[in-house]
Amino acid sequence: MSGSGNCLVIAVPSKGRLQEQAAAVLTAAGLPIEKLGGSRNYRGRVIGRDDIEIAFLSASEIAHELATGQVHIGVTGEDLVRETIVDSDRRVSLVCRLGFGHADVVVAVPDAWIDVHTMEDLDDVAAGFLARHGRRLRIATKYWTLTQGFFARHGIALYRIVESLGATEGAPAAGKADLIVDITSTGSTLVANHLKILQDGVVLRSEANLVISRGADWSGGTAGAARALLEALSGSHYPVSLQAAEAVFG
Amino acid sequence: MPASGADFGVGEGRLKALFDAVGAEWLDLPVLHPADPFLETAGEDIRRRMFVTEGPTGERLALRPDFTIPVCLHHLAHAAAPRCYAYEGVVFRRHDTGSPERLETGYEDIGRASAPEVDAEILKLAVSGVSSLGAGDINVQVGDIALFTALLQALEIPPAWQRRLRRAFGLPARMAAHLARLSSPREGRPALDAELRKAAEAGDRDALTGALQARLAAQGYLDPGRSATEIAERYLDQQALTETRLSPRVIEALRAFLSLEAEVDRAADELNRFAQGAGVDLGPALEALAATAEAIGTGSPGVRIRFAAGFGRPLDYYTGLVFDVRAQNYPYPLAGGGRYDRLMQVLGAPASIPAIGFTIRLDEPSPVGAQAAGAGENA
Repeated sequence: MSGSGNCLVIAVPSKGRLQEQAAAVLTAAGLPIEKLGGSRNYRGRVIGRDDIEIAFLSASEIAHELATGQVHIGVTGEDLVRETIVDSDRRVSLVCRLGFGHADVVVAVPDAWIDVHTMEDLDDVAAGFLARHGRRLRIATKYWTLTQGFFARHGIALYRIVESLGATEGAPAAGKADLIVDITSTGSTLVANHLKILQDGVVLRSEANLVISRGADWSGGTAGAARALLEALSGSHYPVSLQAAEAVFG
Repeated sequence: MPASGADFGVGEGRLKALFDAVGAEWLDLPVLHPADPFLETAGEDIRRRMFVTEGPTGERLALRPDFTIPVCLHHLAHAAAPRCYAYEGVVFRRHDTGSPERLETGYEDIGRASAPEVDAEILKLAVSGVSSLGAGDINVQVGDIALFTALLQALEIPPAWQRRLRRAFGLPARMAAHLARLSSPREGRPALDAELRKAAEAGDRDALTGALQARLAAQGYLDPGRSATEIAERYLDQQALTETRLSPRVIEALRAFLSLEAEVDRAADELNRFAQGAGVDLGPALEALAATAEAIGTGSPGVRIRFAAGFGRPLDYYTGLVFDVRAQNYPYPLAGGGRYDRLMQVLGAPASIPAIGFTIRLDEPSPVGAQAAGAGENA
């Protein structure tokens, strides 16, 4: 993708509301984008700028391409950055919270667990589980990395992760897991599934971020173009950390 | 025979003479193992460090992250009588820096009744092993969670808190947080809805269980992992957890114990002095430690053995003595071991089987001097 000389490559979500909102951010920075060859194409450009290329990708692909330095800048959720990029702070920098795509990654247990309100309670339950049930406590989640990190910080190691490929919130009632770690924006899906969030069970408060890649090739004018973009956003009152960005540009 | 991945012929490990002399059986273990036993025993935390792949029929396999569990599984499958085993080979774990491959050798003594003399014998064997590598002066650190367990009982701490504190043993930050909590308890729990509150307030176990059972069924739980009985029991017991506040005397005793350190031959005296001061009786646990310390003796020239009351490993299958062996020329412990009487049962043994063992690192040395000069990367 960055093969075309010294183009600044910006990755934007390829569909839906996120795409519209990301496009609005770029417009606010004075970079109106358009798709090449109709709406089904996955490449685009900034009107009137030959030095910038737009890549339309799924949000999780954006995180991956940022990690490997294939794109310079991307718009994606912090949850995906933290989940899919190993050692994310060393490979990307989150330079601006964008104020949309809000969602929390949370630990939720059956609301019938009236004895469990905190991670400390969960630690007790996890510790006695093997002796009582002949197996470890099971957690259904798509967020392996975030779950492992969060539980480790709370000193809990005695559990097993059950892979969940969708409808995670149904896993406890179906007997596939005891609790879940999942993303929620309004909490209504959890309530509908008789699950409650632990008091200290917010793993991550996520939203869409402007993310820059530390591994991308920042030579030949790309850093300058990115700097101009960030300064324009900052001028439009986006909370850009220019300092964090400069640390990447070198 | 499975591929061993060992770079030696079976029975020709670097510590062959040492392990042969104590009658160890050399094991040639496969490199690939089912991943589940490692995850079931050490928990998900080890998953980040393990190399996991899939077998031909979709089963999850791991490059062995250690030898102890494969050795235990071998014993479980093949032996009824007590045995001791030796092994040498590469283990695979992701580390922040350095190679994920490490050459290790070790020894596991499985099925022999637990006794102070056995603990001392195994510790001395580990020290001999490290000595024979020519690693320079040796420092051994020894701890024993059985003493901490005895102290918690002697201080009459509520059982639910005893379990929490035991789990924090060997994790100083968590232990400190627990002790802070216990000096000033947390406020109460969120209110229950009307339906459950009546039974809960009356402390009526059966009524609360019944109400929870009805609720789980109404919510469509096919097979609730935690039953209504379990939830109701813990809810009622938990009152003790939230309301527990320990007296300053008890907190002080716990802190004093956890910071107690002494040369191993002075450990029993120091523990006695502590127990008298705190007004507690550490009973058989202290007698056992005194016997172990006596059997260890004063060590030998160039070997220093220190007891640290707060030293432990935060894994629930360790039950007694644990030790680390460090050597002058290495920035990391060269050997680690301990008594793990609960592991065999976790792995599927029908009854408890006593076991103790240790592992010694044999990978390329990363001497202290080189590390300081920035040349070494072997943490």
